[in-house]
Amino acid sequence: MITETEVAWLQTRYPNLTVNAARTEISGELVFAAAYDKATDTFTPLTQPGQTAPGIVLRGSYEISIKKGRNDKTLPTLQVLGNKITPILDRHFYDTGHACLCGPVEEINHMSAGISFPRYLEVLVYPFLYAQRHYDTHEEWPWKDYPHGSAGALESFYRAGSTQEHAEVCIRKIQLNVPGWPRMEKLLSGQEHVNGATNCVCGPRHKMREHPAVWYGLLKLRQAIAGYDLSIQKTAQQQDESVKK
Amino acid sequence: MTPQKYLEELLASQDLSPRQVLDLESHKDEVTKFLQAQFGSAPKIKYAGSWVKGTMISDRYDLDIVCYFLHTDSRSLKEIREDVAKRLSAKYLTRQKSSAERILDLKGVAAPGDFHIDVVPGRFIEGSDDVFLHVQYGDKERMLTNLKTHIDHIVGSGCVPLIRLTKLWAHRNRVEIKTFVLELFVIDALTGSRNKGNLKEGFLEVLKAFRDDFATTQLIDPANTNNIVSQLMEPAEKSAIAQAADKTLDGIDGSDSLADWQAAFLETGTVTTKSSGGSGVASAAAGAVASGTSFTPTRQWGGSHDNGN
Repeated sequence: MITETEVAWLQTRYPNLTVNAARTEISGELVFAAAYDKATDTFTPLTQPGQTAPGIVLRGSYEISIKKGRNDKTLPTLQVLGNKITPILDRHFYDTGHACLCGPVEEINHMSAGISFPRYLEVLVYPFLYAQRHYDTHEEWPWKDYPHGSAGALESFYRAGSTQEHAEVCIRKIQLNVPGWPRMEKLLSGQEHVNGATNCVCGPRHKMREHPAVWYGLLKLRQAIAGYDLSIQKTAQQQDESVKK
Repeated sequence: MTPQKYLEELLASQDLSPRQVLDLESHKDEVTKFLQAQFGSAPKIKYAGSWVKGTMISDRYDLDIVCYFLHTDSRSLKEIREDVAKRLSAKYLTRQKSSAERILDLKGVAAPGDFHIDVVPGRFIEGSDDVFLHVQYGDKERMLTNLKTHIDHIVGSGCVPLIRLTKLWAHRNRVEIKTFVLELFVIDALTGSRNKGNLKEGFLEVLKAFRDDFATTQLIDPANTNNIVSQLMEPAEKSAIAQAADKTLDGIDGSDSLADWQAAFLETGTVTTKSSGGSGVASAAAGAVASGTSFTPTRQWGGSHDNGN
């Protein structure tokens, strides 16, 4: 997960973070400062003494634990320890307590590009913690986030999806939502007609036209399913897991 | 390197490779032979779309082929369309589009991932090269069009290089826009402009037009004045495009920095180094974030279920 060179970098830049012998886990206190400029939608980690950047500057410190991802397609996991943040869905945490750092398509893109640990820390973890800090002080997220669950996966595919792998990952993420899958299966297979007046994936309170990025993401994913001839049937293993849940 | 030079080289890099051209020709050949085997020599089968307009880019392209039947064909447009669809689907993996049958499984190894071939069936109108197409959107079942008028309008506009550049910008920035709308809008935006031959200034002019005028500009099909092409896009879609143009302009308007222009076409990824920051020198660890580097933060997701980790 982290190379020897990167360990040396980490020890210099973040002396409160320690790496285990197998280099699969990093833990400790992360003290950070960063700026976000809403006008230009730019985020700047402030990592050098005296460094400045436009936008709102926030500082914070969190006890964190970063562990190697499940495989080479998944990002390392981030957990925020202590009681500064409640690790719930509305704060962008999976039900495992791991942080949702980005959408599923973006995760694939980061991993395909061979994300280094420094980039993981300062391009993904920093903004995540900055956003949490901002939410604590302003009760709103500093920049737009993806909606929960399947709707977010569809929006991620709409905004960043372009390959068969992106489509497959999004389908798998959507399939994880066991109660929502029967309708999603109809929507993805084209059995349920979709237009602006169709109830959104996020629930019956909203129409597709109110969430155009979700709507277009659905249409784009349907197109990818047809184009790449993808199956949306759950595998036997997925079906077993659904029964258990 | 100046932005103008960079844009010229960028466009040159978007020319199709000889292999890609050969593949396109061979696909066209195959589809033509198949249609002729099905329908005889009666229908006129030829290239259409960006290939004949000269607006193709290698990052993303498809192949458009028209299959126009004689005006004496007594079948309805719907029957012609269904007949073409049925026969194509017997051989290829196809999908119906608004006015075309899309072949999804005929592509060469050098083609982009989402390459496809659109076959557009139609029927000539007696005494002209105008054609009626069967369409599956809006309240009408047929639409009048004229391929030659479209080609003449685009090719004769003097805007082909800027159309290609704008297509590339839209593709790389994931701006969802119908190609015909883009083509007509670029021409509209540059009507009377002195910058048609200047990629840098012309592109800035197009982006400003997207930002300021796209929502309200009425684009009319040059082959059919009853076809208001701009209505093919929803206001929300137009607004998203205006925002994307605005965002790109923020980075390049008034800038002669090569890095800014490369970022507009995502040639350096999404991370850009702002001049106000530190030295911009990468730190010791390979791939580390350089001091002073700014970037657009990734949207966090509320994945409601275990991601498997």
